[in-house]
Amino acid sequence: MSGAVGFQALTSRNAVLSSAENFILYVLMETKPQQGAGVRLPLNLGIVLDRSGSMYDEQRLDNVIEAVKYLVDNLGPDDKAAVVAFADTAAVAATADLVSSDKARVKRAIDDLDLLEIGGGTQMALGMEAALAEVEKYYSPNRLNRLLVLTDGQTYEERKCLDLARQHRDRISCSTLGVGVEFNEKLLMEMAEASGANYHFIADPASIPDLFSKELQGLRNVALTNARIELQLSAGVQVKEAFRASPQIYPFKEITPDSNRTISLPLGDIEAGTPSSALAVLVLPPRRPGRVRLAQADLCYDTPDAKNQRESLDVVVNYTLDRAAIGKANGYVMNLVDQVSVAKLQMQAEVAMAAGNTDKATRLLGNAIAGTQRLGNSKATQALESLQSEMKKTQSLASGAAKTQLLNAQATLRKTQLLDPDSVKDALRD
Amino acid sequence: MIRCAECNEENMDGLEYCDSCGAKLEAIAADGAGAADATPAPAEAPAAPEAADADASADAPETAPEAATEEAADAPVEASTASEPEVAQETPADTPQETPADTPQETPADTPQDAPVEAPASEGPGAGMTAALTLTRGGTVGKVFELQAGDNLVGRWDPDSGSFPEVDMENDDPEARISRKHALIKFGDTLTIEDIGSLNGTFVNRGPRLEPGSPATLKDGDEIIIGKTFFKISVTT
Repeated sequence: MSGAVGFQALTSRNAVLSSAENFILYVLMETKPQQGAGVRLPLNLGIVLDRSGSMYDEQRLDNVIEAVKYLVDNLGPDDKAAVVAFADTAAVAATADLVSSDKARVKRAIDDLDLLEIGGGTQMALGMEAALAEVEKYYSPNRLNRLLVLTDGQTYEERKCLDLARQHRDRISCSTLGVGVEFNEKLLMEMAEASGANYHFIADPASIPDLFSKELQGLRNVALTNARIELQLSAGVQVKEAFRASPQIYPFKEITPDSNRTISLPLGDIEAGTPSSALAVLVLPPRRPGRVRLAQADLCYDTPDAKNQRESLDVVVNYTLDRAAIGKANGYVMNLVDQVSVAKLQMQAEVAMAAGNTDKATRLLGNAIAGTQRLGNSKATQALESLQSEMKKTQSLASGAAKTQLLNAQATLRKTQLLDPDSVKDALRD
Repeated sequence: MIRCAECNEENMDGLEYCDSCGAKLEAIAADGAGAADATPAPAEAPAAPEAADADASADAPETAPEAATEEAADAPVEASTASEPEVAQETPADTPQETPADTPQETPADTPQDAPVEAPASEGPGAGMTAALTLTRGGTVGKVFELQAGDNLVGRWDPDSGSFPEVDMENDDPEARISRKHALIKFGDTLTIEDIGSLNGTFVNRGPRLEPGSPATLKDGDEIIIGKTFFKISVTT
């Protein structure tokens, strides 16, 4: 552990066998800023709301209006928030500065979202562009600059939405909320992952206000912004895979080392009091016995008082010829390895399913279920079992019921089960 | 190396889960106690051939269907190009039921690969079957387009570019979200829709955007979105 940000790099084992083959070692890089370290940064939000025809189903729009009004009520005089609605076109319902001068007017504008003459389609990219322009007006590294994008449907120009999220990820992060079952969850996940922000699946529109308040709480509790882990690999060490391991689980897509043998894993904004971590699966080369530095792990971040902070740690392991000296694996690391592996299996099952290979998908899900049982995550077991039985029944994921099960399973598995680190850290296992 | 007990995949030492099937890998070779007790390193070599045999038999049922589909794909080609009559007679027995037994005779030898795909469409809809699109959103709501047997082009009438669609959206798509040649609905004994490279896409039941070249099957009550116009499918028999 080091400093107030609690950055640590843990390996699954402290010693490895000095054999003639390549082998795998897991490295967990985790930061956990102390509770209370969150500095209340002024917010600069762009709220992007879907107002397509389907938002009138299940009182979705009504719930969204409630949620945004709640958000507006809880913003301070130094916060900014623009409200943008999109359908066929986008319209700025309330400009970013209005929230600090005339909240009543903002709320009236939100109530009147219904009356905007913007058609009934789903042009999300236009909505994002309009909101980004508003957020840019008040952009400052000393604010939390974020888009909140809510949709319930397939959008045109998905590529463009993703590109927008990626282009702005260093300046403006992007949380996404999907309502119902008809939205493209992959798109929303990837948009959120691009900047390390949050993806929420909303099965029940009545929970929309809750999620908005959770998101606001998270924003109020951010301790580090613009965080990333840079992992500089020693010669011969390769990265097989890398995942965000907490607070949500998803794979990092860009893990090809640069000319400096460094990979950069973006973590985005980090809340105080909750662990935020990345898990790298390293392939180690054969070596003679001795103590070896596998990599240098740096946590790079900004705080309101100091930009471009960096905490460095060495990732070290002992190569040994003595099998008995290898000892046990680190229980805390292995628990996260287990959680990540189960989430990965679920993703693979989805791919197999999409390719029409139901048998393989069922088998992968079976293994994922066994994983959740070992972890004692009964909620995930249940979600996966419902998905598996739905899949066996219908042989596809085309029905609304199956899609609900899928989205539910995804959301459950992506959420890292937080353990009391002290209870598992020393519980070494073999 | 650790061999996965479930699928026999060879995995790198230290891995927790099989790369191929995701099963938990039990014997961790890098672990002193585990490796020594459960699978002593020298014993692994003699065990390998056995494992390989098991591998083959375990894989057999899996690979068999693949092989069958490959044969199916090849069969019409062989049948139609071969001049030997015996071959043509043998084919029906080997080929799955999707390929009509008479395909080799009906289709000329020069388009063997298309034969199985085209065959159902050319048979036409069943007697008395009709199909229609009803516009439900984004134009003249309630407007009905009857579908003809065979190919129905969905698009916008444009003589300059030679587009004469059966389902003409020229008057119901003021924003021109529908491409001139947008999608193709084939009405045979099945009803299918294929996106033929449109700009704004074709969607069935709000599923993923259809890829050009992979038609989707339609049934009564389905909803399709073409560009930004919504339709309901009705089929009567």
